[in-house]
Amino acid sequence: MLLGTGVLIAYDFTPGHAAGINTAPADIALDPAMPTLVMVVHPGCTCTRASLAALETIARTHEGRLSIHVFASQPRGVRATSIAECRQAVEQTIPVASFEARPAADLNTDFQTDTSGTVFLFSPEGRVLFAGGITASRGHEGDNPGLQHLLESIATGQATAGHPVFGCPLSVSADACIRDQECPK
Amino acid sequence: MSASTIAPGSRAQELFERDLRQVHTDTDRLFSWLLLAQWIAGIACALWLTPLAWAGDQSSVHPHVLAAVFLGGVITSLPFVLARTHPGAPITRHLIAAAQMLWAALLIDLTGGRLETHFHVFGSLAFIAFYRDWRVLATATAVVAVDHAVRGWFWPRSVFGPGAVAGWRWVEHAGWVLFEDAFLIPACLRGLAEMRKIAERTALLEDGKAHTELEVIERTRELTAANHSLAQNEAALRTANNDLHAASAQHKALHEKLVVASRMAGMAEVATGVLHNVGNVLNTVNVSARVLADRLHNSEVPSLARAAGMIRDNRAALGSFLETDDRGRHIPSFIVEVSECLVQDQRELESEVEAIIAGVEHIKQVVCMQQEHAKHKSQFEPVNLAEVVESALRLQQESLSRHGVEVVRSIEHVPAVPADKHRVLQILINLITNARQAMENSPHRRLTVTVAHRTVDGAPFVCIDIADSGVGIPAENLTRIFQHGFTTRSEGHGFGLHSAAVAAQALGGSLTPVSGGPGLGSTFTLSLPATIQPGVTAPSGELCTES
Repeated sequence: MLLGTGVLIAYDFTPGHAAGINTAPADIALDPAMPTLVMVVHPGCTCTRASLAALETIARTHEGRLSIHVFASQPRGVRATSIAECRQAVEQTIPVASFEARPAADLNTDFQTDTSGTVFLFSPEGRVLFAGGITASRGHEGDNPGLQHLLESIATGQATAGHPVFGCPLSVSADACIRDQECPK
Repeated sequence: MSASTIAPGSRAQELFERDLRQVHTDTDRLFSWLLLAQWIAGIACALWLTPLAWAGDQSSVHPHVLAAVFLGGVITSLPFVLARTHPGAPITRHLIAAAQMLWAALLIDLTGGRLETHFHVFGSLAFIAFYRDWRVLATATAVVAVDHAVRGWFWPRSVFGPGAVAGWRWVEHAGWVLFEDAFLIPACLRGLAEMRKIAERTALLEDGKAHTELEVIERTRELTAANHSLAQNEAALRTANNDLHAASAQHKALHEKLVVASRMAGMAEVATGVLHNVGNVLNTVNVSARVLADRLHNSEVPSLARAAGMIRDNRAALGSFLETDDRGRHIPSFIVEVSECLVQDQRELESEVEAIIAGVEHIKQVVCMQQEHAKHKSQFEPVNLAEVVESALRLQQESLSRHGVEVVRSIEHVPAVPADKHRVLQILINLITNARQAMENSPHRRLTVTVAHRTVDGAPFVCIDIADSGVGIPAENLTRIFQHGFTTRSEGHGFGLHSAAVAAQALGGSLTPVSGGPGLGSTFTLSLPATIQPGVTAPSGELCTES
């Protein structure tokens, strides 16, 4: 029982790989009047529900003061319906957000992250104010330091410390690197 | 009542322990199904919420599913088996309490740490309180406290999240559990106290029931004995009943014989009565006939015939004979005297003939009455008692005159009464005859007949008093005078007054004697209702006049 508990805890609380970036990718359309929030998700990952729930709260409490974009990876094994369901969920819960599906490799290239649930907050100038996860662990909703830091950056426009990202790997290689702890920095 | 009031080893203690064991057993069995349901629900929850874990384009079974199946199975299996195999054992419920708390932790994790799932902890504690054993609550609380303390110490993020928390945060979590315990433990103790009360009352009831059963057994034994006795009595009664039936049959046969004998005796008695009545009237008729014979014997008719012979012998010189002859000169005056005597005789003979006719008529009525009696018929009709009294006196007139009895009448005008005329007449003839006989040796013979209207006990009656100046009746005989066969006369039969009293009762009236004593005469009063009395039917039977 202790072993099972340990495995379960390890799974839930082991963060994914997210090296991070310093500036906004060039192909991201930043809003010149307000900060831009980008969330990268895996459409099949169950953890995505917790990340989108947190994002929904932020969008509702900062309506008109935040530009939000959700990028979903397009893994080959994931059914198209999963992406469509993910898009529908975003459109229904966060209507102000834009949704776009991209290959995982592109997302990895643009955002230097391979973990679902990674959030970036860019200033209108493209400066990274926050980069990290906003859930306490895999699939666990609720208050956590990552969410607090993000809200602080939105409120102040100042950069805050990042937070581990708890989510599914966007690619198999990322999963392997997590398991082997040899992910590129 | 506290636990100390139940004596160890007592029946109440035994009942309390039995009931508590039953509570533990029932709750264990309930929890066994709950654990199984939780396991299934946990797996379903994991399959629904987190079926797959993804890594890029590859998916695998989500660890939550594996945890629900295997970790949940481990948590469930041992307490489930114990609950099925050792229900009621202390270890079973303690393990169940621990399993419930572990299941709460697992479910919280499976549901992504949902706040609502934390209610499972508190719901389980309330459920565990069903055991009414505070120690089990302590076990559950200890599991929560140890889990939070150990994980909080070694891996705080797993229980408190990724933020830095103070080392005593587990105390806060355990404190909320203790907060609920603060209510549940007193409830458990209160439940135990109530169970003790119930056990003590049940013991008292059992004791009472045992006494009652003993009483019932004793009473049943008595009833059985009584039943046995009753059965014996019943057998005896049945035997007696059979004997009674036999005796009854004999009695019936005897009764029939007696009826025949009685009928014959009755017929003899009736015949005697009839003969007496007829005899009495025949006496009157006989007297009248004798008077008639005497009158005829002493008639002046022969003298008249001799006078007629002298006239016939002297028809040729009748004038000179009547004028010159000494015998002839007396013939005219003689004829006048004889004619006057004959007229007187004729009047008296007519009276006697009427008496004879009346007597014969009465004899006829007596015979008719007897015939009607034989047919059980009699006729009530309005009767003028004054007329009946006169009829009776007329019938007795010759006898009374011959005995020198002075008759005094005091007759009021009274309404007709419903009665049988001839029966009343017979009563009066009996009473007058009795009075005449009572005065045979008296120097002054006076018969006073009174007819008056009187009220007796608020009811109207017409009363006829027959009072004589005869020998009177001694006080000791007043109550016996109507007995059948009672008489003070050597030649009497004791029929007259008896039958008169019986006839008076049959008419709805009464006959009562009054006498001042010997030598002071007596009075018999016949009282007849002025109206028909309820229940009075036409009388039957006949009367006998005392002879």
